[in-house]
Amino acid sequence: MKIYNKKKFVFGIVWLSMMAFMVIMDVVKHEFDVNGVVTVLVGCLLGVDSLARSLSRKLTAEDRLEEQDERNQLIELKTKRRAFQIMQGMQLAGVLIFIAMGSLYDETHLTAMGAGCALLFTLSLGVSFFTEIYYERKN
Amino acid sequence: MAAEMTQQQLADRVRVSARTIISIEKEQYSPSLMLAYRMAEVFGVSVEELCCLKENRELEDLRYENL
Repeated sequence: MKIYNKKKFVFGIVWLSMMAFMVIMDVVKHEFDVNGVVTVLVGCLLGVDSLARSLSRKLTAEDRLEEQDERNQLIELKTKRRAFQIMQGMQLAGVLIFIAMGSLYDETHLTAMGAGCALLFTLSLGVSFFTEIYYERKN
Repeated sequence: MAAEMTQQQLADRVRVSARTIISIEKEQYSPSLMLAYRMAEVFGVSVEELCCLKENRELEDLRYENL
């Protein structure tokens, strides 16, 4: 048995371990519900699929091709960029809305949530700034 | 420029996915220089002929003049 994709193999093992842990916890607590069963099934499918792909030479080659495909890489870059911009927008909106609501209704927990959003937004600006410096130097 | 091969066969030869070949054919995606070179080699033409660079440059020059 040869492992052609170590990352996927580890991912598969981790997923299956997590699902086994969930089943054990459910058995110990005697708590079974439909959501839990569905979660475990889906998780097991993901884990088994990942393991199977990592142990197959043909499937690993297909995965590598998809990873290295230039169009896929461009789409991934564009998607992540757009998602990051949207998240920043949402954080900024959160700051304005929560702080305004907190001031209006004199609710400190709303103001605290606004402060949390502000912290995340500031962090994202910082990360964006330093990442840009890194890539400016690299290219 | 028909070389009697399927999109998947071309994709395999130039080491990209079939989806990329489809996007290039639909002019939704511009290939990188290396990919264009690989494709030109497969079809036995130059990169300039494959990408119609001369015609596209003339179109761009025309658009630039009309700005």
